[in-house]
Amino acid sequence: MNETQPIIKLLATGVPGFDEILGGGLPEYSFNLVAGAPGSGKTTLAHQMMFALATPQRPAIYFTVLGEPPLKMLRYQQQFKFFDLDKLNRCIRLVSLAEETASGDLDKVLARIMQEVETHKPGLVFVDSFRSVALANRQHHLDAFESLQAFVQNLGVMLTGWQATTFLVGEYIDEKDSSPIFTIADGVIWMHQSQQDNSVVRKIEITKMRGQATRAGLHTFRMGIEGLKVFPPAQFYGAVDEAEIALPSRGYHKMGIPGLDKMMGGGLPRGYSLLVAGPSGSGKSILAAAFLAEGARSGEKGVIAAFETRPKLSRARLVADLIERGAVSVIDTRATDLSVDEVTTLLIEEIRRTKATRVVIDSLSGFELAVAPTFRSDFRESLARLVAALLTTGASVVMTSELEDRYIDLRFSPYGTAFLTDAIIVQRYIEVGSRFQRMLAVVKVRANHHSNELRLFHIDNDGIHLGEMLVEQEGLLGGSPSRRRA
Amino acid sequence: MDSFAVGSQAALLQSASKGAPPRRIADSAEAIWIRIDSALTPIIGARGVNALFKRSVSVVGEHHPWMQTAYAVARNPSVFTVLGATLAQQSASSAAAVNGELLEAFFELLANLIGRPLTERLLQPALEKFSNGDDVQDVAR
Repeated sequence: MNETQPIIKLLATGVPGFDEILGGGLPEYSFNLVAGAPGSGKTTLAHQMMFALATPQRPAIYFTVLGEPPLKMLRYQQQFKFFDLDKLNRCIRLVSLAEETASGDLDKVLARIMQEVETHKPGLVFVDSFRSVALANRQHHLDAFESLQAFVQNLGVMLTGWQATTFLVGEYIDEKDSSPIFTIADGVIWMHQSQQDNSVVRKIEITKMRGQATRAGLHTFRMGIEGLKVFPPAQFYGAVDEAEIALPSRGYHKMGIPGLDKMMGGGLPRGYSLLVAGPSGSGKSILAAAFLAEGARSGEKGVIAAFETRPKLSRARLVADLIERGAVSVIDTRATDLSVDEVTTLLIEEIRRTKATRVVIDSLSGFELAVAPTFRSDFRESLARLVAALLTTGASVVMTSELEDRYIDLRFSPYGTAFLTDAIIVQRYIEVGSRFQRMLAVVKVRANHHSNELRLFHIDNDGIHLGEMLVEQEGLLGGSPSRRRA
Repeated sequence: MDSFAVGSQAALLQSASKGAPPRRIADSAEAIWIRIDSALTPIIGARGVNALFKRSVSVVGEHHPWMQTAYAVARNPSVFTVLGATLAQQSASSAAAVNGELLEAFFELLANLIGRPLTERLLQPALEKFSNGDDVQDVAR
């Protein structure tokens, strides 16, 4: 690095996932806008960052402006876990600008802000909400636009001069209205609530951040009792540092079904993804459960994301036991309007936490139904990112996929996900001797010799049992085989 | 009730029992409220404090209609000056007791909105000034 260049310190915002999309953190002494419609989470984001960043050495002042009654803000923000009473008064100062704003004189507002800043020398300044400053101004001045621009310009210059990292929180619905502010700001953070049908998804976007390589695009976030949690796009996990990516270690995962390892050429190679495709009821979840149980037998941890409408009823008892014993942990997929990025983040956090080596997503069909409608159109792309991101952890992934049982074609997944998995097992129903039978085949195990047999199997209380090859039949894939003529 | 309120009310009651004139009680009560006001106004704004105080007057006024009347006819913009003037017209012990009720109503209201710990924290500056020796304690002597 050029030694004459200023070193810009990046602040950790304390909002999970947010530093990642900011490109490492928030530049110190930057002048930022937090913009969005009412209810989009601006104040919560501001408070969460403030409570994380404020210290006795770097105190914060939070200016509340007309329009946002401070009493209400205090009442509601206290519900969040990040709200730390000990920091109030000690390193966080709340200041109401209601009177100055009501006067409509921006010079008064500016003077009060500067008086507080000079007296208390904060390292962090928040002004919430800025929109009301602009509106109050307009009522009293004909040249409102110019004086607001001058006001923001002055504020920006002075606060940067005082070495304060600044956030102007505001309801900038009409971008044109506030364009001078957008020009002056070093960083612009937009918060959106996008609606499709009955589903509402919260998204955050960084449209500007001087000197930073931010993650472009809209990123989903969720608000809970802990505050905001941002879900950076899945490919982020793979793109950071090639050296961080765990390479698949040698060896195989045993599948836990007698005979299946042999068919796959030794088992599932570690660090591989496996797609188990088959029609409803063919035994995909049971195969996935056996995979987790086999891992538990050898002390390997597992993680499962189960997307079923009634998980307790339909989840195999085997998996329930594993969860109870702590051998397998579950990702909470009950939240409405999920995004693939959110599930990816949750899975990766859990894999890292438990050092899991076996991951199951059961099923992709249920997953697609669980994501918010707005994400369904690019479900396939997101899924590709998810698989790539999961594999960077070094764990192996088994995904099940419901398949319409069409006998005229041989397909493995409605999502075209077959190409992105390293291995594929397909299950089919066939009719043999007036019986409905199940059959499976190992279609693909990348760079591994595997069997090309079509094997009958049946399911009982102990799981899947592989049977014979139907050597005397042909046309099995068509669903109604016939006896081969000699 | 907040320890500050308990302390100041006790001081007022004590000085009333020792025969302090109502005007003195009223002045002390006004001083307490001005301190509360200056601790809270920077944070919740003058309007916020004003609203809370008026609500407290309305709650306490249910038992003391003369208080509501005083505010209904008041010309002075300062709610605390009005309080002082009104309390001065009561007996010393009644003025001290009513102010205690008013403090309690105010704290309950604020604590209800933002919680007891935060209420106490926000009023800490007022509490500190009070314990540094001031006219309320002078009255109690």
